[in-house]
Amino acid sequence: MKLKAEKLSIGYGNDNTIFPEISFVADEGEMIALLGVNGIGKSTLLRTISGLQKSVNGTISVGEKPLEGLTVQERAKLISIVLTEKIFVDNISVRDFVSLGRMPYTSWLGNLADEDLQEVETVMAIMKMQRLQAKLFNQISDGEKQKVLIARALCQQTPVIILDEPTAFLDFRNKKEILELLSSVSKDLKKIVILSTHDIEASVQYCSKCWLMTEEKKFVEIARSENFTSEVMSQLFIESNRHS
Amino acid sequence: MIRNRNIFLFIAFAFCVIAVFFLQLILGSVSIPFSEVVSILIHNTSSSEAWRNIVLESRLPAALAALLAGAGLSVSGLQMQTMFRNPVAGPYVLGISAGASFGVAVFILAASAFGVTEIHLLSSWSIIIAAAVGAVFIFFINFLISFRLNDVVALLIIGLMIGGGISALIEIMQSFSSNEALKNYVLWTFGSFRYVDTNQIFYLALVVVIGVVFSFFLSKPLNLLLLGDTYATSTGLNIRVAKILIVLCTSILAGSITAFCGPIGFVGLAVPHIARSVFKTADHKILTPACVLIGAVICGLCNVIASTPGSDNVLPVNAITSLLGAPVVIWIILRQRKF
Repeated sequence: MKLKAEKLSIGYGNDNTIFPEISFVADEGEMIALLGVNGIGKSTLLRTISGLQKSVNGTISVGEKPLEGLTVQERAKLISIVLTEKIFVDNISVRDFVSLGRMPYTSWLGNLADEDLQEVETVMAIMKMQRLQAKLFNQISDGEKQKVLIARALCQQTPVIILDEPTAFLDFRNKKEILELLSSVSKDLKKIVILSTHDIEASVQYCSKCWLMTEEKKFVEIARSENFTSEVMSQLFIESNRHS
Repeated sequence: MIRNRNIFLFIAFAFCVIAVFFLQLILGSVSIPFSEVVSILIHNTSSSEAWRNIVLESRLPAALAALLAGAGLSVSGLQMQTMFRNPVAGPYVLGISAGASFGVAVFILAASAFGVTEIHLLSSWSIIIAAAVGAVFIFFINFLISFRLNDVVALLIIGLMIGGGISALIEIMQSFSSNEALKNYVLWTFGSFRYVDTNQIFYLALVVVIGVVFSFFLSKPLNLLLLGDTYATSTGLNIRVAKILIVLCTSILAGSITAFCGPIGFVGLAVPHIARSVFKTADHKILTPACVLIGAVICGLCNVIASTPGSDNVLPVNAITSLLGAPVVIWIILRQRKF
């Protein structure tokens, strides 16, 4: 299944286009880093791909389905998200939190069927977080919380997972762990993982390609190569030099 | 194991509800023995005709009203706390009680202008209708806002502002009121389960049962809203529809209870916290029935205390619920924030 965007313009209506003419193709098994300076529109692009915000122009499609015209329920089975904002929920166990990812598949009352429980179990095992499952969400560390949020998204069983700065609040060890995990998830489970980040050196080495949103409003794809990280850095450097 | 614990707790609280129900029938200005209460309820006979009258005409409707009000207010408080993701939200944040108070204030003032100032007014259908009209009016304002804006914070602020504006209008009306009318209005704001008579209790029960069942059906949307609007949308929830249904449900519960019993503070705020910390869950399929039972127990107890057993005094229910509720909320918040 492919995620495609054609001549996508993002923003808030025709008069307020933030970034024009974005075209890309992402294939299953790929992990993609979305790079660019603050305020360039990374979050807006991610929100638009997630269907949380309307595009100004152009189309996005998952597989053969154009995103526009899908109901929220249908979209929930194609794209899952992990946001930067911190979440405060009292009295919810890690297990129950992760189970919320199964809701697109449950009936009107949200009862978990056997296959839902099975999926939660499988995801917990993949994420190596069985020891966390009985703990309360608000009593675990930031790194563990990020894993819980990723597990919740995995339970949603969507071909596309979108993460807005998943490493923002983490220390070096946790960053490495989360990125390795996402990389293996994208390869082993054949998912498209797109993440925005400012930790270029830390994250780029795990990705199969990078998307760069330049200050000249160009959308540039950099494919993985031998000196991938340095190439991405030099591209970024050239862009920022050209600008100043 | 957790499931067994929950079943045990549900059974325990159900017994507490029954115990509090009988306590309300037994205690009051005169104590009536338990055996007599049972015989009045089952066989409709008693060794004293006065006791029979007290139990059936006065204490039974008040006791049921207290249980229903506690259940309904707690459930709507739970919904508001989840929807606004705010632990100090309660059934009245939407301005429902302000609307009901306004309806009642206008009605009492108008009635006194026509020379009707009896205290009996407070248990009449007209006051219920006046309060309901006020609450419905506010509901429609909220409904239009939540339909137009997708923003709960705006809804919260507008609810508070409506409340403030209406209090100001009521104060202006009070300054023109006669002493009797003023006294009646103030008595109404004290809250009481005694205004509800044997005919009215049926209607209150009907509306509260409908509201509670309705809110149980909203468990899944409420669970999804725990993580905030964005996650809820991305897991397939149409949040606009969900929020309108939640506002409707809370308005039905809080509006009808306020119409029948007056504004009852703190129960709707405190009980959801108690339910969460006792049942150690955030799942609304468990919290909704938990709030029903715990809310009923607490309002029933408040009714017993307000009736000051052994004396002829009656205390304002609102004062009792606040005195009990405020420390509970403080205790729970301190307990939760220790890490």
